[in-house]
Amino acid sequence: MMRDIDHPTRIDKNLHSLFTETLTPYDFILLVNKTGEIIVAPNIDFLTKRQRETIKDIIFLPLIHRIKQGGEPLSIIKKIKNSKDKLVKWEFRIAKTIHPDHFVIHALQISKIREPGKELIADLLIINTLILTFGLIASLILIKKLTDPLNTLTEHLEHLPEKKFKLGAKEKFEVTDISKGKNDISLMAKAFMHLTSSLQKYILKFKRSTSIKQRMLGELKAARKIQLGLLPENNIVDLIRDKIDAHAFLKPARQVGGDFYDFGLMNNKYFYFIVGDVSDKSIASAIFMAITKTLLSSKMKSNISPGEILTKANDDLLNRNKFNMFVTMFLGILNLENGEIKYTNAGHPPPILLRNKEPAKFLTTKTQPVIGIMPDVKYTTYTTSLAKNEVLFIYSDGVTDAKNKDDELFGDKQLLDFINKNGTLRPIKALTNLLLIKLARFMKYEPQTDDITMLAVRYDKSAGNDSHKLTLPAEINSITKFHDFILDKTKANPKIQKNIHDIYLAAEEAIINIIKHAYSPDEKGSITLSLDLTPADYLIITIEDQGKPFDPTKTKPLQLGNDIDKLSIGGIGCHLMQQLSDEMLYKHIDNKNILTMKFKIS
Amino acid sequence: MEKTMTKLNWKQNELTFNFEDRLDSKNSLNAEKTIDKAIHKKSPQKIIFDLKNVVYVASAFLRICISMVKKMGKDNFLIINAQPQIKKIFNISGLEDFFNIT
Repeated sequence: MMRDIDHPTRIDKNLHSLFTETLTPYDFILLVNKTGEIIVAPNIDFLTKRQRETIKDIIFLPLIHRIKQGGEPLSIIKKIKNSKDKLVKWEFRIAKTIHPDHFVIHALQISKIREPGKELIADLLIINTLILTFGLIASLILIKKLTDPLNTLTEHLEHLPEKKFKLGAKEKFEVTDISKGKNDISLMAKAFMHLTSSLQKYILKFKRSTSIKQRMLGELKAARKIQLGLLPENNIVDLIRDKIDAHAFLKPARQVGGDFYDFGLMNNKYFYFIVGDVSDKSIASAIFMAITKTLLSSKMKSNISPGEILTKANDDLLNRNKFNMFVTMFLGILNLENGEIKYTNAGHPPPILLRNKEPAKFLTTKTQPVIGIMPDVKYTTYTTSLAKNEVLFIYSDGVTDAKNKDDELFGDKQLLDFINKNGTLRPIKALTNLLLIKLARFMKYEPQTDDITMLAVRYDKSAGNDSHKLTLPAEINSITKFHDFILDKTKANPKIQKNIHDIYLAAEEAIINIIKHAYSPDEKGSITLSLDLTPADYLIITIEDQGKPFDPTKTKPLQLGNDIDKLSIGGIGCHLMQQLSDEMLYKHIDNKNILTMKFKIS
Repeated sequence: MEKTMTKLNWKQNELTFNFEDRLDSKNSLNAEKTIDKAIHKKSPQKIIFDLKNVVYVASAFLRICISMVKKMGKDNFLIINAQPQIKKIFNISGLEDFFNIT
């Protein structure tokens, strides 16, 4: 209901309704006069009379006074009891009007207008904070959910090398778990599993191939050892030391090589020697070499020539040779009695021959093919002979092909010069050893790429019979002839020459004995003198006659006493024979006196 | 067939024989003939065998020496310039004490 308070002036209708038509009892405007009397007020009960009076004094008048003075602030806040006796905060603001005695006062119940806003903001703030916090926690949880598998994967990946690229049971379980999802991490986990299992497979493969390689290397080494073990011992030659001096040596290259040599005796009459070189350097070639050696050994017989042996060996090897391997070979058979050598060269470097008082030269023959490649080859046997002290030197191309750091080869000429200079070294082992040293010096630190093989033979027997015989009439003139005979047949042996006077004296005494006593004056008896130079350390002289039996070994030793008159003229001869010879034997067989004297030669 | 030339050398009453090279049985026989001939012509007080050039002796020569020493006595029979291998033969024969050998 509208109630006007009495006032003298009429107020504009529109303005009037502005004051009165308020909808809220906590936000309205009043028109007051200069004394603080309310002229127009809203149609609401908002204050009691008493309150109005109080407000007039406390609020309106001070505000009016202030605004007239132009002071500040133009608002006053006051707590007023409402109808429920609750203190509520009011803000009153004054403003001038056109009329100098009229003022507008805006009354605002703060708690109702502003404070709800504040409360709302506060609430919003709280809610926001809560939402934020919740969101943060939620996202942290989510992140953790994502990064945990990632961390797990990373950790397993990091430890993979120390665990030798193998996942343990626990790790496998965890990773499998992670891989079960549908996100990127799961994909990663799946890839991870795949990676480790692939790694495992490759590591196993690699291990296997390495161990295979190592085993192969080990087997190569073992094969080489077996190869070398098949070589004959040099001391076999000691059995025939009086006839030859021979020495062989094989210096293997680092890998399995292809060289081999063999030598041996046949019937104590023949000495065979072989040097060969198989084309490859592999286990296959080592086996091929062993087969070749065995084949040759089986075919080595004294009544077959080297050409025939190699022809047969070639045919046999062709049948077994699916790898196109071939062998070069030099095969020689030396007749120990007379120094004759039958030999065949199948594609092998020509040996070097050092003859007495001649420069060393190559033993060349028409080229014949290597063994194992061509069918129906008929190998030719060539013949030569070694006189006493002559040397045959067989080698493999590892010698002439030895390289130094400037890529120069040792070469044929250097080898020839070497043999020329050193071929007379005794024992012949000194020759092979010296060549090894020379080669080592030549190569220095260069690796040896091929086997080095050498086999040297020197013939030490005088060719032909080493037994010599001479029969002469039992007369004084024969002495000179016997003397010349003995000297001639022993002149080649320097060891015998040392003692030749003593040896000859013993022989002469025996001869003179026979001349003087064996036969009666009218008998025309003879004396046979035999020289045997065969043994290496003894010279044996045998003197035969067909006269009266007489045993010089039974002569009593000279007992001269001091009396020169008692000096017997006879018997000195036998005494000298006994003293000068190392051994004296006598036998009487078939009406023959056979006296054997042995002289030791150092 | 070479003949060994034995040289003779008279010095007052001393007769020196210079033998050559090898005195084997045959040469010793020849030497003996030479010696006998020389002594027969003129008897020496002293006989000297100079073995400077002798490289070899046989028992026949030893026998000659023995007959010399028997004949002349140890002091009047000298063997000089004997090479070591010749001395050795005398030693082996056990005869070195009977002779004046240098």
